[in-house]
Amino acid sequence: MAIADPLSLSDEIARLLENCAPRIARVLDRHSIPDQDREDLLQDSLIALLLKQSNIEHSEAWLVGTVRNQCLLYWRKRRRSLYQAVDYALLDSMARPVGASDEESHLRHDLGGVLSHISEKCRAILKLRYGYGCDPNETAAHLGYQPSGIQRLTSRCLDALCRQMVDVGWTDDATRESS
Amino acid sequence: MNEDNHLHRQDLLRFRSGEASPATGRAVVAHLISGCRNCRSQAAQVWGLSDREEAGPTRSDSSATIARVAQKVAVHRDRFAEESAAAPALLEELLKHPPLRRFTLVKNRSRLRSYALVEALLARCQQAVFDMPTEAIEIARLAQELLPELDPSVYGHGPIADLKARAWGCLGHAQRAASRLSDAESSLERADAMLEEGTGDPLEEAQILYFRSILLLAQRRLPEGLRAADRALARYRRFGSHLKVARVMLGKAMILSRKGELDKAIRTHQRALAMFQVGEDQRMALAGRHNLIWDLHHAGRVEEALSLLSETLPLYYQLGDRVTLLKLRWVEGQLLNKLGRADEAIECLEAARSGLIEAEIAYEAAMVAFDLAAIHSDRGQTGAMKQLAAEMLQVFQALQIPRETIAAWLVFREAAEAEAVTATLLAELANYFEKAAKQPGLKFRTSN
Repeated sequence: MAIADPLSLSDEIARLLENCAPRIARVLDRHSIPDQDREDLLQDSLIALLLKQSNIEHSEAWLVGTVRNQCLLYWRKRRRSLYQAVDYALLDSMARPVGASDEESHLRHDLGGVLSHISEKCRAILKLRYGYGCDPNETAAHLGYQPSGIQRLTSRCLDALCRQMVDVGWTDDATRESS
Repeated sequence: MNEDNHLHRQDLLRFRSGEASPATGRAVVAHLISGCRNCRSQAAQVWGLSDREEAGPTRSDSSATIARVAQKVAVHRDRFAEESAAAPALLEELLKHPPLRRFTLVKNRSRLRSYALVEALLARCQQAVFDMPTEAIEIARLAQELLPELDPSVYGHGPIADLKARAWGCLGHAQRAASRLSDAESSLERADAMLEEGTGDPLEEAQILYFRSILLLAQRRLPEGLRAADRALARYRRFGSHLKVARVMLGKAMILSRKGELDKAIRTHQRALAMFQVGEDQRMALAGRHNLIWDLHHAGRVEEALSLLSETLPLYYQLGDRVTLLKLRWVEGQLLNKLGRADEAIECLEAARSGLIEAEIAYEAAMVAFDLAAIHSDRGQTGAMKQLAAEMLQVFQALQIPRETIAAWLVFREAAEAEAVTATLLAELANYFEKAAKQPGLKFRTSN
């Protein structure tokens, strides 16, 4: 199948796309990029190729590598927005008076259960954040971490928390029994 | 919540994209934390946290998608080619103006709003880093001023973010060269953040890693610097040119040298220099050769250092700027002293010292002065040493060097006056001045 009209793209890039298309397709499939986002993602990679062509020595490897990295960034970005949503919802819940509703009064207990399944380091960071309302700088000072690294560490801990929240192998009953 | 007291798929989607109301957000988190198996399983899939692929609409034919996108992108080809051809002339035209005027022009002239011109500015910034770091900072800032003017509907959000990352990286690299290490660190953090918004281009990432490795060298965070250099190397070896690989290897060799692993540093320098073909990037080759001469000398391989130095002399005279030539005199002086030719060594070192003072490069002038002091000390020339100590003090005062550094020099002057200068003190002072050049305000502590 002809990927592009050689008159509209340079011969070199048209040939490159012919050669790479199956590999790019495999990368997109393997990373389960939703249909509606595939075109945007590919378009950025191909524009970047046109813009930077003179500085790229191994175009095929570069294009496939760039699409692969972009798939990883795509999911990382989506996860980051998920962590922010979880973080905001937890901070919002914890800021409300205890006993505002049954659901909210259970939250503290349930959160303790989830936190008991993540690493000690993350547990300490998240307890300070949600239990005592410490901001990242206060958390860093309290636990002796570099302020420059606390954001990255908190993101990792939120990742662990989110994974624990959706871990279907764990149930609240198990935690309640152990607490 | 639906009638069965489970979460709606739509609520989970809205929550992930930050569009859920605060009440829905609280409900989603509380429900999942409470342990509902059904909803956890659904959230894992909807949020992409599951190993299993999310059940979604049937995937379209990827090859057809690639063909469609290629056609869309093709319409920009001629424009990009024209902009690329016009960029060198636009760059020269822009840089002819005084700095403030340049900033006005990039805001007001639409023909300057091209990706290729920003790339050309950043390439010029990198050329200026070594000799004129302050000018390099200004050029990087100018490129940053132009970036918001680029049209995302033409260049795409990802490629523009790549260029923003490169601009922050170049700025950080220039700030590092100007010894503004904490500014450099912040700029490289901004570069990392922009890479996350970019296309995932491994060469952009490699360049930022290289800049970081050189910053970590300046900060003396050597193991981290080595890791960053190795990560940059892995990317360049796979996707980049041999010259990029060679440049990072030269940086890695400098880190190894600073770690005191001179044999490894020498081997890495030699492997990197072997990658340069005749006439290729001779300035970088000269810098690499200069560092190799320095390492060979400090590893006690004086003959090899001298042989390489005489082989490199034509390149020094052809390409060397004033500072490089002064550094040549410095290393020549050190080597001649090792060979027992003290008079010639003193002549070279004096030339280097006075040239560095003229160029107002006070810290390196001080380090040369310590080499001179060591020779005077060996020869029992206490008068010459006292004179050197007094002269340099005047230089530091005239150049408004921080008082902590002047205090360190006073330690030397007092020892010279008391005729009690030792090799250990000279080594400690030289080490201190090398560090203090990058950390103004650092205090000197002698081991005695």
